[in-house]
Amino acid sequence: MKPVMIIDLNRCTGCLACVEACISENIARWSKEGLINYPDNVVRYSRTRPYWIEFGDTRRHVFIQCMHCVNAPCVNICPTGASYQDENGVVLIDYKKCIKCMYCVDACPYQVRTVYEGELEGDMLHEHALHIGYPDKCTLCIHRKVGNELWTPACVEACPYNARLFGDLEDPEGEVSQLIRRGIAVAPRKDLGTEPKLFYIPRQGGAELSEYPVRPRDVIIPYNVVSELKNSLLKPLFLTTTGLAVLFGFIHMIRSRGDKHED
Amino acid sequence: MKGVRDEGKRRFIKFAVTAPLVTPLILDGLSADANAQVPIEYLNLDIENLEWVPSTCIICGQGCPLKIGVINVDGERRIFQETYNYDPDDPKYFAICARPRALGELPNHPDRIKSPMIRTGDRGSGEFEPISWDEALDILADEIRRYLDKPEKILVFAHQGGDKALLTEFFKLVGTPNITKHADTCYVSSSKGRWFVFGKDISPGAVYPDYENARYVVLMGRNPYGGFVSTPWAKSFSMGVSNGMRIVVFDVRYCEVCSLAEKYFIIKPGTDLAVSLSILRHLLVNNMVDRDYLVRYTNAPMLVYRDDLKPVEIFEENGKIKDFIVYDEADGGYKFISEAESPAIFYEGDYEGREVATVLSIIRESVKDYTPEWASSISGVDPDDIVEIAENLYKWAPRSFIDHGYKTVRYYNEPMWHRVNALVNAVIGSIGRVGGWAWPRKVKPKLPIKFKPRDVLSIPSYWEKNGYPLIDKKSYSMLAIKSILEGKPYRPEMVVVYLENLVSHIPSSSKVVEALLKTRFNVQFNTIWDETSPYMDLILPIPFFFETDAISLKGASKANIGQVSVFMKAVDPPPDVDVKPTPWIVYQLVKRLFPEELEKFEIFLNPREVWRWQCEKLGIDYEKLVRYGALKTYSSPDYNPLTRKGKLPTKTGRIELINVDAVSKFSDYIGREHNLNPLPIWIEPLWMKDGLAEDEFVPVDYMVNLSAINTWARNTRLLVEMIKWLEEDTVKINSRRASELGIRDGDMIKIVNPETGDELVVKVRTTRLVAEEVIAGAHGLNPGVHERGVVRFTYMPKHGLNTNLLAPFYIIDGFGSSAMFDYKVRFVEVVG
Repeated sequence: MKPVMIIDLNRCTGCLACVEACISENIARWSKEGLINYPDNVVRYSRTRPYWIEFGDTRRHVFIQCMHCVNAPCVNICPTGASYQDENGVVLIDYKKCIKCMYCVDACPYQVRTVYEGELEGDMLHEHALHIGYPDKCTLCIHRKVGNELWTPACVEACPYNARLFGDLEDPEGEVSQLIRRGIAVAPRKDLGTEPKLFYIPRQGGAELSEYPVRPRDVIIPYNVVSELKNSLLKPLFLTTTGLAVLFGFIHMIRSRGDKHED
Repeated sequence: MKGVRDEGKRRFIKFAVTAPLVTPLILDGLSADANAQVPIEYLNLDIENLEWVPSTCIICGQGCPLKIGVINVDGERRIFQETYNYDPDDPKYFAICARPRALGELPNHPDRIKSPMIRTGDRGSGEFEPISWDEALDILADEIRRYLDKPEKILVFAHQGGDKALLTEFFKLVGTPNITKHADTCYVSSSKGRWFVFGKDISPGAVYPDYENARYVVLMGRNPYGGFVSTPWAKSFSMGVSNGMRIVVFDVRYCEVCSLAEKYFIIKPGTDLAVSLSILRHLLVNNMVDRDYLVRYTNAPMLVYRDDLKPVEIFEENGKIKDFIVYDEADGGYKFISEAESPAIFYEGDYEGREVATVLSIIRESVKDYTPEWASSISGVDPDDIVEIAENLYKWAPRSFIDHGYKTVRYYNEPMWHRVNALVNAVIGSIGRVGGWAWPRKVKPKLPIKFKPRDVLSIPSYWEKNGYPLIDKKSYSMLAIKSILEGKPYRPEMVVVYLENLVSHIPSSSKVVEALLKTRFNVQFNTIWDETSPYMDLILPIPFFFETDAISLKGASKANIGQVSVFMKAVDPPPDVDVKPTPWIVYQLVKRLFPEELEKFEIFLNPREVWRWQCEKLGIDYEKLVRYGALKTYSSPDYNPLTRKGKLPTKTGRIELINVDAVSKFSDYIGREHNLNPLPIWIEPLWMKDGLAEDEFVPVDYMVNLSAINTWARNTRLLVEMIKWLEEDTVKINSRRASELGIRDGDMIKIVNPETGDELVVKVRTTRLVAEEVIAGAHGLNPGVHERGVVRFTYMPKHGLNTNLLAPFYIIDGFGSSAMFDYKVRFVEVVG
């Protein structure tokens, strides 16, 4: 199973139902007194949020959120393996491994990882909900997954205009995979080479995709270089370091034994 | 991009230095040390077993079916999510907007009224203290009893809510004929304007704009994505966009649908009528009309005398015109239309010595001066664009139309404007057609009781004979206030406000306050505090709609299909909240006042018995309805120009381009610049009469799908955060005007209505995408001076716009509706 999401920008009215559903489920905390608490400026921390692309005298919205890239910069750069892809290709965060280095936040070309560092009282609603001080992102509502069945993310469930579709890319008969195969739903900025699994059905002209918001290259950590560094340099470096340590240890041991013998 | 973290380079350097040091440690499995910092306590909600309770939203009049996701936490039922609901066999239609998605905040909202409250300070002070339900009900019953022999002195404002119908029946039993809704400050100008064409009030909900099948749609002052009462239409609109529908937008500001439009025009406020008249002229002058449609379904070929517009000759039966004289082009003779082979739609001649012409020729003559250049000089729209729009409407007809609008009480000329738009759609033959204006098929569940009020002179009947012949006799909130102020025909002494916010919702809040200070006793049924609360004597808290089963099913009609839905209780009110449902309150009042009638009200203590009764009457499967919450009643709208009945309630039974009834009733207005003129003519908006001074603006508030004056949507934290994110807690002023006045983006400024002296402080966003004449802001996001005493608005934005707080008390003569934005405010100073 390869879950993917499509946002049909023709159907989307910008009502923000998806944002509200996401906040209610993933960001909000419930207090014992029955209150629902949100971070200040909570839309900023919604795992899907509107972004306006201006061109000429008009502007169009897209919803930006984690793309669950096949070649995910955040996963590649994570030094601890806290950012990872599960068996279905969903990019997730293992908070037990996260050391808050925030490299993933800066590596994401789509700038969809956020970090909330303020106060927030009350209980999280599930284990993948917003963790204060940690990188945060869309999980496709993985907490709704039961067994190995395809589930429905909160934003998809909430969308009254059927503008959000969620399906299995490996199901050739499914609506989602057909829309992608026929080129009706397309991924933005293929030139980045990240292979996103969030697709859009653009409006006429497709300005939302050609002008899709990505960070300027000079402010993105060059994740491909880093990835290469990590895999081709750091691992050998580690192995070499460890090997040398073992070697030196062995030599030291032999020498110590020799010294002892001389005594 | 908002909130960019611009630290990439710095992080990269940090990374380059630290990564080689950290990585071996991490890869060695030492990262487990980080575990200590991870907050791992969470509720672990059983989302898999979420219970979806069907209900119906009451924020606006549409009543969209929704599902409320309830989850159990330590034995307490809490609201977790909300989504839309639909007939399980027809999921394509209906939707909910953003407003009802913050329900979970409401049970424990800090502004909630938690028990009956009695006024303790002066009226208007906002000082209240709790009392028991017994005390509250005794007080209210005693007050009502005082008026049992003169019930007309009780004035009831009730428009919203699932139990509203029961409350109004109760007050009919009390005897008052004065029970009003608030459509006069919402859409009456268009519904009455369209009366001229269709012979009956055509409210916005009485038209189904068939976006899904349309090819070309002109939106004027209408934003289906942001507007009120819009979600089923918005859904149809989004389907139309998907289907390639072409869109043109006229508005005083850039709005969401402008991004979808092939062209949009930011025009001067209240000048759309000029554009509509010019479109009509272009169609008629160039014979771009659907002749067959006009002959078959309209009175376009009817011959009328030029001097008085009366039909030349008619055959009348039971007050209806069964036949009328036309000019038959086949043989050049005058005949009854039933006998004519080829009735002329354009013809001018004489009949027995008097000049006659067809109705369509008279209209063409009436609009002949409204050239595109003329319309351009008023509205600022390029003449070529007006021509192009007219020609596209004709080209794509009948799958094209000018949208019918919703909020249509903004400018003085709106009755005429919406009449002209209906005429445009009629001459291109798109009314009652697939892809045009269709007729929705409605279901109206009735109650098992019905009372008649006392046969006394009612407020609307008085005003109907005194200046407002086209008053909407179900919606006259402004004229009701006028009755209190002027004592005509008498002064109501007791005001009952049921889920209404008069002070915020009626133009000229200061006059509404003045009226509420003149009455003897005011009582409000409400859920949370609003701007009207300080002026009440007694406040009775009722549950939110999701905390009780309402006593009636809801007929939802503004979609491709007709549908009925339930209001079902999802959660109980919190233990510290002492609210009572309306049926219980009514029952207690009946017990005190009309014990002999008590038996009739017992059924309402068990609302599901009422639903069952209504289902039987409507032929709906009750068990299925309760299981799913919403069931369709009709599968498609009515695509017949004269409705399924085959006739309209006009004198001719046809679409009347000149209303025969109006010609006799309003003959005095022929030739006058007046909304009652039977002919389409230009009427200037009021603000235009003597222009704008350099520091003056026309205040315009527009709808966003996040706020609502009458209920709690604008008071919830989540929706307010959305409003702030969209910067809708501000007012928009044209950049050039702002610059000239020394106003900068982000300034707080004071504005005043020089006529009334009412002031407001608002926060400014400057933009070039708003008309230079206006100061525009989202509807109702400023409480003005009405946050007082214990009446608090914890989360509501305080520096947006509410035009009603500044408006003069102006009522459109003839119609009784408001001209909500048709006045001027003056920029006073920057205050912060």
